[in-house]
Amino acid sequence: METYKLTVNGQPKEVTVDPGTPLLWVLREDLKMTGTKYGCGIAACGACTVHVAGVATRSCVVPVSLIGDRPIVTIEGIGQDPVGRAVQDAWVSEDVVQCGYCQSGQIMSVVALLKRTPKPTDTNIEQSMGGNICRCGTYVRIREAIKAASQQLK
Amino acid sequence: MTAATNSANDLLLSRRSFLRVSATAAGGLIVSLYLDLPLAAQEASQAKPKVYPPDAFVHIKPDGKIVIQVNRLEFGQGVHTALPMILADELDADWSQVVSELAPAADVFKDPLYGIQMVGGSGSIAHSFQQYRELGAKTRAMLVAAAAEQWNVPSNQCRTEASVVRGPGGRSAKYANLAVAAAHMPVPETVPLKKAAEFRLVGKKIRRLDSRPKCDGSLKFGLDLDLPRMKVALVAHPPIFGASPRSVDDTAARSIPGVADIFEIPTVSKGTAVAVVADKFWTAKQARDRLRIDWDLSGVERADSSQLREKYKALAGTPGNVAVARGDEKALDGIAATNRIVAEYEFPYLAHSPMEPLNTTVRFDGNRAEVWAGSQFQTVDQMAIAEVLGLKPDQITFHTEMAGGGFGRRATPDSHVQREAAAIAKRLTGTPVKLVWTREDDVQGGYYRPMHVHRVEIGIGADGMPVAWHHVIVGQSIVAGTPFASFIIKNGVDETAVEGTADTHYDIPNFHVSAHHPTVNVPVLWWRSVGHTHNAFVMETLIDELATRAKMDPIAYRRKLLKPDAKKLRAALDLMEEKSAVWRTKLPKGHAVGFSCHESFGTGVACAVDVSIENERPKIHRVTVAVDPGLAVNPLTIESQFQAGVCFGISQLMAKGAITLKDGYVEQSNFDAYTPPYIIDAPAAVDVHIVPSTEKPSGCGEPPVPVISPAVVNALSQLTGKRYRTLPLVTV
Amino acid sequence: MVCSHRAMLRVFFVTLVACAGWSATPPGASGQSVSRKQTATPATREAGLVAWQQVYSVLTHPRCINCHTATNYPQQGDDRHRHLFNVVRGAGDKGVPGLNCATCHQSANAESTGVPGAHNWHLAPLSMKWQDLNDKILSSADVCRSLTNRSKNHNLDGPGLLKHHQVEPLVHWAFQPGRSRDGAARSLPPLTHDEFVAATRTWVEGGMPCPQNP
Repeated sequence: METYKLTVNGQPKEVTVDPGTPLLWVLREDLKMTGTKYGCGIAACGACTVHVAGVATRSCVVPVSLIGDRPIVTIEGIGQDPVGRAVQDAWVSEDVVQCGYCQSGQIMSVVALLKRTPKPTDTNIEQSMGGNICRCGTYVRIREAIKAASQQLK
Repeated sequence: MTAATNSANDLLLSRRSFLRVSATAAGGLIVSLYLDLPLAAQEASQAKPKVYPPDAFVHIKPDGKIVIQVNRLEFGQGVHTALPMILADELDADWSQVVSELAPAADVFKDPLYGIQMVGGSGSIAHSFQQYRELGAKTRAMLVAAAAEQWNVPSNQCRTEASVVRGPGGRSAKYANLAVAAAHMPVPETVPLKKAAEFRLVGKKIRRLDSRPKCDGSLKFGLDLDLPRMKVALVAHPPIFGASPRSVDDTAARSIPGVADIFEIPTVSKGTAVAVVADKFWTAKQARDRLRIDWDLSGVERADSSQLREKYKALAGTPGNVAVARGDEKALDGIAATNRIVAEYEFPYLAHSPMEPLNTTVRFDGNRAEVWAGSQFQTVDQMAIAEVLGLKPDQITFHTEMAGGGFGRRATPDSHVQREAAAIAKRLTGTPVKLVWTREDDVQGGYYRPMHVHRVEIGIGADGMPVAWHHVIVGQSIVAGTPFASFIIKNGVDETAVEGTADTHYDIPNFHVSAHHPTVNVPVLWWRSVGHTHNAFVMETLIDELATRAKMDPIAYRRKLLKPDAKKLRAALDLMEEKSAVWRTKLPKGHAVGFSCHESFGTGVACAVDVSIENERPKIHRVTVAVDPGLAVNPLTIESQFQAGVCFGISQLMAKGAITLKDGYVEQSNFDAYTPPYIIDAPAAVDVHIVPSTEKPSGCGEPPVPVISPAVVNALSQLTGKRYRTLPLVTV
Repeated sequence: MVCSHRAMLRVFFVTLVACAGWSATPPGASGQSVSRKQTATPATREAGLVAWQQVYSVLTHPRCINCHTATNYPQQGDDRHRHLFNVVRGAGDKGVPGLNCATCHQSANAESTGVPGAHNWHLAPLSMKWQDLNDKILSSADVCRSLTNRSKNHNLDGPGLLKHHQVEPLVHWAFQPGRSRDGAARSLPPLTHDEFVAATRTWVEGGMPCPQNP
């Protein structure tokens, strides 16, 4: 067991866990922040996506011991960011979600995309979102909502 | 979004008091919800209540919020919004004040047609449309009656809108203020319902109620549940279904701090599994990984996909149990080989793999239990848990959690996951236990869409139309051995294996369909659209092949062959033809259009797809889909379901879209080897068109799935000249 | 970096000159651009060719070549299959926003989850591809030419290449690649890191000779 000081959504947090514990499970069970989801555990689906030092990160494969002092932002906090808020609003106005389980990860990936590429092309979208699974298949509306969010952020 | 306890100021008495529960001798659950009928009278009726009391479904709170109970699981299909819409419309409720909750397991929430609380068969709206309309209308009538009484005016001089009753002389009263009085009004036996023109919500594009919390991390799914002192359990399942451990060495596992207990539990396939209970998921996973289990694999059948394929192909060459025998069985004999199509189709096992892996939380208190599960089969599961715990179902409070997908996986006749959870909870009386299946458990855990082989022999007439059709279908029965068998298996044929062929809307003369249902040691289950998943593929690719041979336009061919009264399919076909004309007549080089039409669960669907081949895979540029679902309750939900449903449907085409077994072992374990569609596999655009209709609503959850795979391969056939009869599409 | 190259090369040159008796030989017959005068003898050249084959055996081992692709994607595994989950190269060889290499790969191996990691995990640029567009490994001659082409190799000369092999974290990673998800140790290149560096040195001292194309 080791103690780690983390910054999550701007707040200092301290956890004492096995060093190999993936950040996903530290967030979900030690910090009780269940917005970040478990979908596969092997970084195949993106449901676990958070931002670490601004980089979209698949928390299910990153042990908490490798986070260091890099700040973490989760779906619970991304709404504080104007890009995050715009994406969430677009998701609602375009009626994207179905079961919704993958959408935390989709949104976190989209925010990472839009922060770097505010006006993404279809190719940008396919490449950046190409690793996120939506089993319900909401991809068509995800594309539309990304474009809507991008418009909002002009 | 689960049922919450209500304050005493609510319309009704608190949930505990109005849900007066009594058990019948048979162990069934009866919930007496009438406030004004004596308990004894309700105990007399054992069957599902034919009349649904509004107070079980609607709570009008003093602050104006209107809480509506949804008698189905919400797992993406949108009932959480659509059913309340229906009720709220008849109620003339202020939609902005409507709160939707998923009802717990209770008799009153059972499906009016099937008599169990369930979601499946795309039946939610179809079966509960009338029900929810009546509930809304009755509640409205009681509110009006309360106002009319207070004002001493006739009810028919009152009207309602947006949660307000308006009476003569400018009087008005909010529903919130009438609620208590309304609760004492008699529940009308019958009420007039709105005419279609009076709908304010039904028929409109209404956005989902659950979007925001699903976008900000606040909505809790079953897997997110956290209770005080809760433990997490993982189960080491036998690697071959039905096996048991010869020995278990749990020394290394137990040495991990946080492990609470490790013990064996039975599995429904008559084997034994090993449960690991710990303080957290990661602890449990570490411990389970360190178990050294020597599995006794003697005496369990080792299913093998290659062997099954050969066995099924051999069976397909022989007639099976008759599903359809229409016309002259010998008509095919007189047809020359050059005028025949002989086709063999192969379909693999498919896993549902909803994004939220299976999970159930149970707390057993000795003489009561509490359960939280995103279940498609609440009352079935409740009974199974009761059996394991030695309780009566009414001693179990069963909360319905929002679920991260299901596609049929969460509707298990044997309630196997719930039974595991109950068995574990029983060992830890008083402690809530959350059983979690990992993705590996999910992919390897069975309950797949069965493997199938079809053998079809078609005799073709001079005009290119079929004159005889022999069709043999081989595949495990989904319902055999379950309580559903008695009404789904007829003459030895499991209807879920032949639906889409046996009930075809094509007017095929001399039509013979039969089925073989081998018994295989692999649990199987209904996968979104069930038999239509393979039957529609076979039918719609064969129709396309026939049209090509006849040098007829594929749409015209279908029109000619469809039965005259295939009203929904014809309407969908017409609308699809119209809406796709703009693009399919101007396809770029290297693109082809593919068509299909199929009716399932009462809904007719037709689609056209624009496909090219890129990087040796089908690239779907556009899908135009037309649907006749009867009355479209929420066109936005329907549009969503079809846009996304076709993206789900192409799972069947994915190169790694098959579950295979080798010598008893499932070869895939996660999304790396069993790969669903990603955004790059999905169509770039899907436009959905709804046939205007006033017929009663049918379903939209499953109907998008069967049409897409055949349409895509029909387009590929145009491009490559090949016919595709084996799924998944490993090569193009 | 350039300064230290020059400094190192001066040292190297001085050392060679000080070891009198070694005569300059022309660059390898393949005609690669070597802008520093090498004082390599036929004996060292032949030793260099032998050493090159050893270097080549490491470079083309999956732990190295999986990131030296000619395509829009990395490879993974000993079977060098296309990296799963639709990851792509991206303009900067580091993936794309939302799906960077760093989305999963951290600065060290993640033992508990089986994801390899090292500082600045990323793809070698296309100029450093050692495979063709069909994922077929290039010949020893072609890889050697590619490696010594200063317009393609970040302007590294012999000592620069040696240093790269000595200190680059991603090179080090290949020799301590950690375990996969199932706990199995990833296969190692045919030489240890020390042996690899020694072979590189011998090759560089031999004038970085490249074999002829067969």
